[in-house]
Amino acid sequence: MTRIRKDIAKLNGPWPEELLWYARAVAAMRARPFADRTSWLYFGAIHGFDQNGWIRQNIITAGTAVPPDIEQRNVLNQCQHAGWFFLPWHRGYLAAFEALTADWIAAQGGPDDWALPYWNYLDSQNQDARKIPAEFLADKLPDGTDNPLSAASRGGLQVLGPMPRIGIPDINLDAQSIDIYTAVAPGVLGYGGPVSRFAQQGNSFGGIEANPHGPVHVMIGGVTPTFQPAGWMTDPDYAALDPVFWLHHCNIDRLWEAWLSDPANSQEVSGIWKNGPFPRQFLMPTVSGGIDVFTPGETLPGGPLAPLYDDLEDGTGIVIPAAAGEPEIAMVSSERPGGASREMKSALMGSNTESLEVGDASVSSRVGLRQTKMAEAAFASPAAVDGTHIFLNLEGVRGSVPTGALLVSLAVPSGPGGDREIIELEPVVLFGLGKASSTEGSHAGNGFTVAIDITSAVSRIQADGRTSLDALEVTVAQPKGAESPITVDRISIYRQISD
Amino acid sequence: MSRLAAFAFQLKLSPMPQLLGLSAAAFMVLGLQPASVRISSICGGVSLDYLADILILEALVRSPSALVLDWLIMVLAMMPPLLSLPVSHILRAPAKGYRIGAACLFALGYGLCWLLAGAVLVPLAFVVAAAAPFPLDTVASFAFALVWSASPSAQSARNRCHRLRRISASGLRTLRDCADQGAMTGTACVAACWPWMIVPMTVENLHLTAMAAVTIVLFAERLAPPAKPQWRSPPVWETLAGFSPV
Ligand SMILES: [Cu+2]
Repeated sequence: MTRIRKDIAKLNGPWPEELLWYARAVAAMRARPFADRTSWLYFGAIHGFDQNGWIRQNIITAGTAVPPDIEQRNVLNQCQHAGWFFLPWHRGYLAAFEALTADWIAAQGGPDDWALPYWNYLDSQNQDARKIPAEFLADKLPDGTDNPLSAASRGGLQVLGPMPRIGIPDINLDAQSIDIYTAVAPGVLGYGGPVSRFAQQGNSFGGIEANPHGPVHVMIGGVTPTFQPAGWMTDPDYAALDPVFWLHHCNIDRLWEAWLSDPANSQEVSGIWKNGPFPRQFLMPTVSGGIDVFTPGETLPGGPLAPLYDDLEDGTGIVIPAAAGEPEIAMVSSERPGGASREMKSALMGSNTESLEVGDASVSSRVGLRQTKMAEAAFASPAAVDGTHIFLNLEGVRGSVPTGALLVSLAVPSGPGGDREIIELEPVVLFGLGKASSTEGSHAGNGFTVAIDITSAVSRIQADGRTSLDALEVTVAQPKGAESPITVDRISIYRQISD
Repeated sequence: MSRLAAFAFQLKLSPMPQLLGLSAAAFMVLGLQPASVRISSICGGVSLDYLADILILEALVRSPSALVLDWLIMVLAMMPPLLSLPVSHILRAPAKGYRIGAACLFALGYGLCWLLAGAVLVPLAFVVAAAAPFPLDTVASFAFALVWSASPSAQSARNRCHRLRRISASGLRTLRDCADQGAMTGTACVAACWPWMIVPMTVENLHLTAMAAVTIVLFAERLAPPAKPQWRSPPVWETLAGFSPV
């Protein structure tokens, strides 16, 4: 059976067959009890489950039978974020969900090649690309019955875009040009994340997870003026309960597939990545309600969980070479993390001296730069002459809000004319901050480390005629209205060196 | 098969191979050492009637430094495999040129915790060994350690083993921060593991075997992910379950 995932905008809408069947399948899954592994709630809880929170939001009642303890520990709360398993885990999660949905649809007499459609929100050729597909907003299905696709708690936008009041930047395809999957060296940004263990909230986002993944979640879910999640998509413990989650993640998955098909990019293929974490493993319900294991290696092109898409170019920022066939990436295996073909190194150029607490006022901190040859060289001829990147790192970012944001700006202590130039960087979205900072549950509690590419900002400073820099001033603030403080252990600047 | 591979690859991730090497070297030193200077051999000879008597006096007055050394080598043999997270942190966070200093200061902070703990745990092991004949003392201390591992206090201590602190980029502060990280990890480690350290001290003849077994238990506990502090089955089962597919 070949399932080909298609762009929702290119289906025969409104209410194309594919979405009608999706809606019916969602309704059928919602009708099943939570403890049934093929139920909507069970699949949502595989991503994240907060029993008290679900009761508070009337998703379940205090009397609802929940899956047994051991199953909760092994199968629920499994989503992988802020680490190098983000992409493969979500790929396996989509595959299990799609298999289940497609099986039900075929059994009901629907098409037997039904595939999950994707929401191609960054397709520049489609004016309406950023609008939440109308089928997910309508109250009723064409036959007048309630629409399960709009039955979700949402408090954000109906058209994806920046949310300056709460510090959410616009979405973009910048990540698609990061050419190495794993951030092996400290302080740099990889496409897929840094080396990590089993981590529902790990330490640090890869480029694709930071944008567009995180911002889309918050744009749809929204946050209250005090930064509590306004809708399900903003909180990992609820996100997968929204039917639009699956179309969003299908597009993220497709962006990875497109990235994989570009031979210039180097995918992680080390044994430690391919075999997955230990002792917890990746488990998904089967169509018949059993449980199956999968490994990240199986999600690579050529593997049993590799998906097929109708198109990998529109809205992906990738141009597929004319002669490209199936990417051969999965065949190469390397001993060490970081890819077989390239080595990634970095050097710490400097850091601030104190940890910061960012409350409702902004906080500035001086990042002294070590006067080494390295620093001089980087600031004398910056800007990617040889693929060099400079990263600002916010390390050990902790806070109690489920999802937070930080506004970051750079300033040169004083310009040639004596005035200060301030460069605003893109705001940082901290999707899942609360979980990553919690020391009470299954998280290490070390918060996030965020790497921001400041190469072009440094070039701008250089263009002002500056020949050397001994410090940068970094200002960090929360958007107005944020109530609980966010702390930052260290602010540092790293230079990536590619061989 | 793939579960074994997943486990084996964890052992290959730097700095785990170096830490395992350190542990193996310490085991070898203990293997080559004459048995008479071992804590476990003193434990083997002690009984309640003589508890405050010559054996201990002899141990503490005649060869306290040998006792301390034996204890520290024992810690060095058993603990390194548990430390890959904080060690990786203190090696990665500072600027180049600080790695050796960072490692030394971390070891100092960490070692100090166990040194202080030893001042309580070694005499405690004497008391346990004196209170009951072998193998009853071993069985009892093992049972206690197992119950401890299942307790919320132990879980909360294990959670703290994952905690990382700020490490300055350069200067003396880097060294101080690394010592602090060592002390922080050390405190959590002592709190999580202390009853387990008593178990091999009560075993005289198969001392090294007992130590190795406990090391494996502690390593398995360390591999288990953090969890809500509450009564639970000892985390070693969770890690063992990780070997079974599904
Ligand atoms: Cu997501």
